[in-house]
Amino acid sequence: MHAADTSFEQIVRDHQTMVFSTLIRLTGSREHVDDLAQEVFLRLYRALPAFRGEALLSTYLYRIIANVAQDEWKRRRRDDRPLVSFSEEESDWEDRLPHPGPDAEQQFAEKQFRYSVEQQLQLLSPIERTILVLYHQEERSYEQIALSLKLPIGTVRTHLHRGRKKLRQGIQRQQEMERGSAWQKTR
Amino acid sequence: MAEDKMKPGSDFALNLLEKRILLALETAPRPEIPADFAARIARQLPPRPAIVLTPKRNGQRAAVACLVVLLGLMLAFAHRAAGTSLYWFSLESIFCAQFALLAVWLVARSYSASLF
Repeated sequence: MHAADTSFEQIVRDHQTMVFSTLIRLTGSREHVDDLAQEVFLRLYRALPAFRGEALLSTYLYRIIANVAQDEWKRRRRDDRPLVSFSEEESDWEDRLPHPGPDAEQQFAEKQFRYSVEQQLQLLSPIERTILVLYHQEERSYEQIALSLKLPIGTVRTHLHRGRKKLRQGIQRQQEMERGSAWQKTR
Repeated sequence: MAEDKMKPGSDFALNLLEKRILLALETAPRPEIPADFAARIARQLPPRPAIVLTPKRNGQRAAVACLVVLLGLMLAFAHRAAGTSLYWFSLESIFCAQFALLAVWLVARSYSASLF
């Protein structure tokens, strides 16, 4: 193994958690995330000779992640496969059960709420979803997101506000529907 | 009073909902990364083409050009420098010194290049 390969292995190790969690969030699924992460790093390796260090490696990496996620959405649309939320695919089912204790109900409610956020996130447009994830989960600034996605800062700001609004409205709608069905059951 | 605050659509309920959404967004999913993922990627890397550096030798070319120009100047002003004028003699000496320095530099450079 070459020294370059060893140092690239270190780059992979340093960024793999971020790549995996961002891909899971963007694609809404844990399915194939291994393959997608592999694709991200191979693209990074191929692009490295052109990388001149004018931007952070992570900025470069976010651009690749967004492109790979976009390819995956297109592929799913072609295959006409429904989106599977990663919350449904939690590997250990016990993890979804509330922990015993006085706040078990609250924990369960919080988990349900997170699940509905994930569902609503998948209903946003790809660009709104990507910006929301980069801003809130990855804590990137407007400038970094603009640089990663090659968009003007104003556009990033607009998509972020619009995405947040749509997400809130979607969750409110969902909660109203749940309240309505609960009320009907009690009648 | 407290019930009014919690009413869906009230400012308090909207703020609470906003906070819960932000918290959910900020909580990153926990990925399950295979232990050998990085090593596996490193094994799959395509070989990089070897970079062959061909020296351009622009400096050497410029030095040879300067030598030619200096030689021309020395020959052109030789008959004036042979006279009694100190000015032309000094100018000729400067050209000679520059010529000698450049020649030494060129010889030393080609000698060191032949060692490697």
